[in-house]
Amino acid sequence: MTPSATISIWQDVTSVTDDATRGTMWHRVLHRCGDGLYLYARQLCRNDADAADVVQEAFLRVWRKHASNGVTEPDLPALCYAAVRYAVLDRRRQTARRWRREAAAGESWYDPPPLFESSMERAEEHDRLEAAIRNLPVEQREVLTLKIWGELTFQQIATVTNDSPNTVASRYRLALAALRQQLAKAGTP
Amino acid sequence: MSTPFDALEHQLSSLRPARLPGPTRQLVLDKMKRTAATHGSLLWLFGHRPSFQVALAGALSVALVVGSTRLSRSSRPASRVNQAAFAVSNGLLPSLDFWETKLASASPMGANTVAVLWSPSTLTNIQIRH
Repeated sequence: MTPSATISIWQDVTSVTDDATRGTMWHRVLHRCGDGLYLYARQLCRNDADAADVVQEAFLRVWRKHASNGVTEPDLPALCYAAVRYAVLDRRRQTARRWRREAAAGESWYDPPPLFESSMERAEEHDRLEAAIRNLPVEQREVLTLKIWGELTFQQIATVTNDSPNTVASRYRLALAALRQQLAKAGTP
Repeated sequence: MSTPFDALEHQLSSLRPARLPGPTRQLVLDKMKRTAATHGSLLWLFGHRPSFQVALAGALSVALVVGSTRLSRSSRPASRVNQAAFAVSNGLLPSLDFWETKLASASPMGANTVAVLWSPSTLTNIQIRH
């Protein structure tokens, strides 16, 4: 084999390798779902640093498992959200004692940063919505997050949370009802 | 299942989640790139595809069968003179098994492929020993 042929084959190999990570569905999914995954993780974790770590760990776990097994792009978001949930539960199990201690010590002073980006013109409305969302029970908030910002179907959410689709749909309706009630109380039209 | 959003749902979906920190995003991309580059070969890219595994397992099995056959031929004590060669080739057979297992565990293949790889050579060894 001539040196030029070897170089050309090597270039083919490296270009295929680059394509495996750049400009592929993995890139697109990270770009499209990264913020949603982070939002989901932040609601399950005690602090934002942990949430970022969880997203990183979960996304790479899904990538390692499915990078070359023919998974399709529409299936990926649900897999990533499920991996985030799994990673959080895993961490909680591993560090349950530390987590309880930190939670007990930190809850009094840790002021969580906003879950959403604020816009100048609708800042007040956004603040009210965010406050209402934070007041929801964890299960309802989880379903709401996966439905609205994760853009998952009830069936997919049920797979992520290990519940039945009916339970998930019912939690979603309850969450919306609770939000309406809170916003009405706060005087939002 | 996908009913149209009502006013409140539209209001909620207008909220944009806070962005995933840039360093985290970059770290994920870097790790994906680095892992792909480390494994950096077609073997890693296609190693998880069943068709590739079957083809690889087939090729390795054929190679093992051919190799074992040659060894057994050369080890057949036609004249009972070359006892040393017989002993050496018999000694090589277990090492073939060993390298087969090593190769299977080093490459990104499933347990099924290892089983497929294992079976023909085991059979051949049994046949040879008989």
